[in-house]
Amino acid sequence: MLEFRKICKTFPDGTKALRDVDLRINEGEFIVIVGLSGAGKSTLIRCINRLVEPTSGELLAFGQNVTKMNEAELRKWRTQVGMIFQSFNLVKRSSVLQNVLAGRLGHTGTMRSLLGMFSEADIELAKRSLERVGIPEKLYNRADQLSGGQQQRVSIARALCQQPRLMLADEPVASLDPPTSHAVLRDLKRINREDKITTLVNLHFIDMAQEYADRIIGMRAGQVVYDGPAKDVDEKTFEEIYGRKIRPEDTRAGAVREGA
Amino acid sequence: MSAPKENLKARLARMGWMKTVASLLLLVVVYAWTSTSLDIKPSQFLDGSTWRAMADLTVRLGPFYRVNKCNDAHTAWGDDEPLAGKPNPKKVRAVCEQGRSQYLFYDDYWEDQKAFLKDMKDPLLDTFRMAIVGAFFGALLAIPFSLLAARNLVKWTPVYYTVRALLNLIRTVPDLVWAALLTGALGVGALPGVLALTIFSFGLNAKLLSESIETIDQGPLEAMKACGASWIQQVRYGVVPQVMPQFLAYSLYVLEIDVRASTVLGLVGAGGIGVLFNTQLTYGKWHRVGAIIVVMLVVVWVMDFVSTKVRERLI
Repeated sequence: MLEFRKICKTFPDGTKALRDVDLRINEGEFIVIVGLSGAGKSTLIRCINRLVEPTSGELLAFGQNVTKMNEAELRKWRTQVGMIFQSFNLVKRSSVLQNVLAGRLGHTGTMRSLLGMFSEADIELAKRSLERVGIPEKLYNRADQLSGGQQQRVSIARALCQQPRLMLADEPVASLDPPTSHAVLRDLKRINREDKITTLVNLHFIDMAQEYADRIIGMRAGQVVYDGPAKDVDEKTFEEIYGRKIRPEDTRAGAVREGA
Repeated sequence: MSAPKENLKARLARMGWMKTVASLLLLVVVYAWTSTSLDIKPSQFLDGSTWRAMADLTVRLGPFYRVNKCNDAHTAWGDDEPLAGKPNPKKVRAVCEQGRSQYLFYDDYWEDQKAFLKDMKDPLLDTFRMAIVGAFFGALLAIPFSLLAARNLVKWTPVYYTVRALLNLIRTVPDLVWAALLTGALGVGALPGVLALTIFSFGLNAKLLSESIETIDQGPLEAMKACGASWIQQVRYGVVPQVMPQFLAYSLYVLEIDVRASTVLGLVGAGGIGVLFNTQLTYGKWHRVGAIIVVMLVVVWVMDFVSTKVRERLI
């Protein structure tokens, strides 16, 4: 359902972030993309909703060619792709409800949204999304009053509110503590199972990747160097992906022992 | 036994750059002072004439008037005119006949000030009205233009540079000059004053706001873009909540500046209390000019206090 064909991305400063990436992603999979920072994980994920424009190659999704979409088609495609960020990307001064409703913007007409007139159904959906991530009582709190884990849940609720077919998460737990990290990934996994939403998560913690992924994609220097089921992956595989020995900070648990 | 000659670079290094800059600045000051076109001679300060003139002004802004050695008595004021902020002719004559120069207290100073305060009320309110209307429309106009002048929102650079250039052009012209220009075009009255303040507030507010917008957290915008939100929706839900407090604070600040600016717009005939100021200045009623300055001081002080308090709450 999602197919990368020879996707390349060269940034204006000459950095080759992706080199000829070929991938097939099947409906309902929970995929974790691992690799060191700078390996091209973020670029790969952002190519899917074209927050980053691929330099060459084609991306096919649900029978459409994403790379050839015009502005209107692209916006329509983006409404079907939920995205979660490392830094949550909430409007800190706005209420949780406002932040979650932002997920409906792509489905709402310009005039209505400028006046803040979201439909009853949208508000209902926003409340249900917050219930699903376990913080229904925070509806009217300001986003900056919430803890990091709660803020990440709000951003998951925002993505859920889009009723997406595909969920992208770019280092969703890099700025969270270990228990919260696991809670957030459990939420993502549960949503993946319940709604059959295909999910791609960028992680650099190998223990978490092994624990949650159905399938692991390893990246190094802009290329896919490993692609296989999570149960076949062991420490040796990760050493091949990272191109060096595994260190304690490469695991969620180890990163804490190091005091990172 | 001659020491090796120190070259300029080493000498500068030894002096340190602070001393170098200080001596250069001193040179500039000396140049500016001694340049003939300014026509300021040290003697003007040394013989005390300048200081005396300034002290004289200070006294005359208060409840005193000056009688010179000359025959002011029969040139300036008739005996039969009622006293209304005027020197007392009898006292003036008495001083003149003695051939002295003296400061005298206005006999009806407090009555005159009270009456003048009443005269001041309407022009003062006009000044406020002009400032409020100008600041309001200026702020309103600033919203769309500041969005276009923010580098992080406008990816197409020609728009950004054009709007920036326009804003710079507007801010190059001071408020008083706008008022003078518009008075020339529209005639004397409050309308050119309000328009001048609108343009001035617009330039200032748009500049401040666009710079605020450039420092916002870009993350929420990216998230909304990823949700399929259009540019205008990103602005409404990502930018507006982030800059709203600053925008209100800037608008208050601009209003504060407008109140201050609108007091002098009358000097070029653009309405407000400046017109009254100009009249009193023309007729040499210095004690009334002093009263206007005191009232303005109080108004600006209150304005400053209130807007600072409100702005503290906002940010």
